[in-house]
Amino acid sequence: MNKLQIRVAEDFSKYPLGRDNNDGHFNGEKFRKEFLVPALKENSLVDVYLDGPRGYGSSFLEEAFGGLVRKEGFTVEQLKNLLRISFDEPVYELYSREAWEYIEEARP
Amino acid sequence: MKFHSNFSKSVRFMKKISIKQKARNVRKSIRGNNYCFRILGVDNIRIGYNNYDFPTKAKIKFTSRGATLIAPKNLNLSADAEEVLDFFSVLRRVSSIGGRLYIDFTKIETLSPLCALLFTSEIDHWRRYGKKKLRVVDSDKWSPRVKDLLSQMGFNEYLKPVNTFYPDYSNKTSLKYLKLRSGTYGDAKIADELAQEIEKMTGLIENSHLLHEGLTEAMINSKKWAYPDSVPDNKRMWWVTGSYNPETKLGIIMIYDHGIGIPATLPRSGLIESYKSLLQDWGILAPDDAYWIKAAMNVGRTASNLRNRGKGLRDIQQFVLGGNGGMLRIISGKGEYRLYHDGREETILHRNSLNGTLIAWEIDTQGYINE
Repeated sequence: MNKLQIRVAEDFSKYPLGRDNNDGHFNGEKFRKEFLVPALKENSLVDVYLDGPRGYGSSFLEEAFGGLVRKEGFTVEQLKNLLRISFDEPVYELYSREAWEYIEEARP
Repeated sequence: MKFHSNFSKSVRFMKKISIKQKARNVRKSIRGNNYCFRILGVDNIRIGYNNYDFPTKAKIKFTSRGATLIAPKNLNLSADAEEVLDFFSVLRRVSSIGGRLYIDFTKIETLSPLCALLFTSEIDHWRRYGKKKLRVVDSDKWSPRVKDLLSQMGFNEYLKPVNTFYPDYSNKTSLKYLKLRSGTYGDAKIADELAQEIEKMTGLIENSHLLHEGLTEAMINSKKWAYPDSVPDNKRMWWVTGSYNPETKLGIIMIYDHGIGIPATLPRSGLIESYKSLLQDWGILAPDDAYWIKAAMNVGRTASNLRNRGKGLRDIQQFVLGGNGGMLRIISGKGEYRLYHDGREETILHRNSLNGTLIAWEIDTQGYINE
């Protein structure tokens, strides 16, 4: 099994926003379904780098990361082994922490 | 001009007739002008004619050429909020009726950034959905400051009038405006552009990512919650712009929608019991619009396990609470809510409704800027 790195700004969009298609084009649901879920199923470790966008709204983070537990059948324990939410610039630490909060708060 | 002379008769005997009779006389005198009748219908009997007060303070004239709405001298919410809200309320109603509409700009002496946003959004709405053409008249009589500000905001490019006006460069204001933008979906690119443009004037803004979060969540809230279900997606518009005053070092980023207002949308949020419970804790048994907004913002800020609406309202507050200065100002329905950087809150109940929601982040750049 492999390790995969996803850089949100380069691989997905520099302008992520919102929960689903009703909110905006580069939304959390799209990121989860098209990037996170396939990557988590095919790799032993997925490292998501948040750097690049100016910021992340809570709706994007909750839907992308919390949605893994709520809608995709992953458990918190599985994600702790499979997923890293990383950053180079310290400003993104806030979002990494927030994304993990959503994962831990989410109920299937 | 026939109806004009009839009206004069009714004015002459105004003291001797009842208010209902006055309204009847006005209706009679302007028979044939559909828009006038509809306005009379909306405002029942409180409407006057010509320079007689229209609903409260806003001045409107009806002539055979159409309606003329006279803008207040100070189009500035800080100067006289009630007069300004009244003006915009009447503008919305008159512009939605049809017929020719003139807006007299010659009396305006001051135009604030917030009011410039309200005004251009009203005209944009009128132009788009009324399929009207905008024509600029008498711009030589407008205040040079007003022309300069509207020009900076992109009045000519954005609203595309049949004829453009030219700013008077000999009397420029130091106030800087960002170009007006609008949309019907969340658009992080627009939020990013606005932040970049204001930072060109102010220098890098500390915690600008929190401002970005707040603005994008406000766009989403506008699309998702602000409008009644009957309004189609492509008409759920928001407008954004910003301004910077180098003299006061105050920057503003603002977003406005024409929805039904935060207080009216709260029952749909799924959090209404939390809001009511908090209001009861405060001892507010009959909350007005301002208190409903305050309750929603407090629940958004403090409660855990929020649904999406609550999270969006929390994001809107983060920028002000995460730095060293500034203020969040929300005007929605008849309520106004202010949140200061030190956590102080203020509520104001206005007599007139804004007919939408205005959210403004006032950035005290002396506290926020990384030089």
